[in-house]
Amino acid sequence: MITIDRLRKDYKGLTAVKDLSLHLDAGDIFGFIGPNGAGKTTTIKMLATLLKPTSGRATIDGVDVVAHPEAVRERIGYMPAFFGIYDDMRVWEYLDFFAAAYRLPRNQRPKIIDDVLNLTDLIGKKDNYVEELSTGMKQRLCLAKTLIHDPKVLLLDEPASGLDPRARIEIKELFKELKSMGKTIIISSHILPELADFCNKVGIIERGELLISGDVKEIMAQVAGGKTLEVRLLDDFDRAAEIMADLPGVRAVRRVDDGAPAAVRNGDVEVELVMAESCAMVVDFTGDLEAQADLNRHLVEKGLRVIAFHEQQTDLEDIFMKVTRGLVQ
Amino acid sequence: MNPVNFLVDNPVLNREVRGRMRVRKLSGKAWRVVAVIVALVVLRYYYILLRAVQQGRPDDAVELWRGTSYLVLTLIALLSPALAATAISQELEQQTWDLLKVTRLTAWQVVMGKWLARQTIPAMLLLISLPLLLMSALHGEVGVAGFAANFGYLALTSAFFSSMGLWCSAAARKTAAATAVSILLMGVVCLGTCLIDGIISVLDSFRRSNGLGTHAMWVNPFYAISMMDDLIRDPNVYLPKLHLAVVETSVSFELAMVVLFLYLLAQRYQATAAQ
Repeated sequence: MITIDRLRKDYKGLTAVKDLSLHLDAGDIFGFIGPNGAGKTTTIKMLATLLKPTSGRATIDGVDVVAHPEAVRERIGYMPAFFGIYDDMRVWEYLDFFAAAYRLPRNQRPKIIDDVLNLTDLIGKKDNYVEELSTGMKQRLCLAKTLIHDPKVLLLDEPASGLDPRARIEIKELFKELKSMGKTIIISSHILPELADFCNKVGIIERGELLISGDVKEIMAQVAGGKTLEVRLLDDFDRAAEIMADLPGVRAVRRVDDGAPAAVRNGDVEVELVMAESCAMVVDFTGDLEAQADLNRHLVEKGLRVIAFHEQQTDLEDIFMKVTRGLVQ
Repeated sequence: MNPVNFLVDNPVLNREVRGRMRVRKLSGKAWRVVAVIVALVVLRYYYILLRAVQQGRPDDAVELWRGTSYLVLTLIALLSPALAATAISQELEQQTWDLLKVTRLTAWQVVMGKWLARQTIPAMLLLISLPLLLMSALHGEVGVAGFAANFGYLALTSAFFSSMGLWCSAAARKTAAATAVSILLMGVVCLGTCLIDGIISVLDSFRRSNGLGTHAMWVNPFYAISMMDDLIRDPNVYLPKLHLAVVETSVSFELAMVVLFLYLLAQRYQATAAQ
């Protein structure tokens, strides 16, 4: 559905996007992650036909974004990070304006407007003036505007920025609904927990360069290089660390609480210990499920009082921190 | 898309005109009351004025016609560029321009929609002055053709200044700068030409002695309309060919500039900006 081939955008003295390549299939939800100024907005604007690339090519649904921008615009819905609204317009008038701008037939517009208002939970505000809406409602209104012509592809640039926690949750539910509708979505954010729930693919960009991209689970496995186990013990932390350090599959052991560290080495890896009532020890583990079960059994057989033993979910924040600090092997 | 649909189905034009006509704080009932009061006052005013014109002398009617057309031209020169100067810069400032650009609206739909909508108030001004101009022109024996030529020139000048203001709005990108530049350009056309004319006339005694303007004045709408009015009132006026040349030059200049400004705007809109 979306193919980007060595897309580049240069400004005077600055390369905003460096030879970015990417492929998304129909129905993919792509999380575009990166710090401020990484090049996310520039990339999205090039796809939205608002910026002309310096070089490279991008196609949406087989249509080149530079050669045929009009054809691309009927296929995409674009929601910028910062957008204004027209004063002195009611909610339904605002949507009717964009429905007309997208050349929807006049007789179909009232129903379409009601449908998108229902989807974005703004039907009760239909006759309100746009400027009377709260920030979260305006965000949803912009999303309604983005969906008015039923585009195949959605380009959402930081759609939840500036929203309070409740509004974020509400808009996240909306994104899940859009996912279930089969839309192909590129959603950029620098707030990672938002994306983790519903993206099946992610790309991490830093200083114009796409550092890594692909399936979320594959990336997590690739970057994490295994799994992370959390072992919580009542006491005997020193002994537990020493025992674990010698077991097969254990790459490193570290603590998650504050405290006075004591060091035990496993090769090049230092193990930090803290005196605490119950201590959570985080283990970087490369073994399979059998080895994992053996680890648990071994700790118990050695008389250690294990109160919790489970695999910790590696999240996008961990991936982002590792990748953007150049820790990928 | 046929021309009628181009205008009727133009969402930019519809939104801008509605925005101009809407007074949000008034309810429907209040609106009706205000409309009735305004209509009664206007009708009463017009009745008195037109009766006065009818009962007056033809010479007075002609002077009233000239005076009114100069007044309308002055208001058009002041209002048209300033009203149009916010059309695009305001969209850029309030960050709605990108939302507009990613729709399926063509460049010409957006440009024409904004241009026509920004002439709503000058058009209302022309409409309000129409009965007075017509009545005074007919009573002053100017004739329908003379009235039509004069009125048409006022409409063309409004279109010219609107297109100039619109272009300034796109070029300057900030409303304050766009407004300032458009008024400055209007000043150059209406006053700057007089200054140039004055300087040249000081140096050229022939022109000074015959009261003739320099070529710089030929694009000045006030000069052009006075030449037109002289020709309408007296086809045997001194140097009628010169009068006609001035009028033709001014009309051609304004028409060409309207087309050029709108074309440049459409091109600017179409080009995906290489920022």
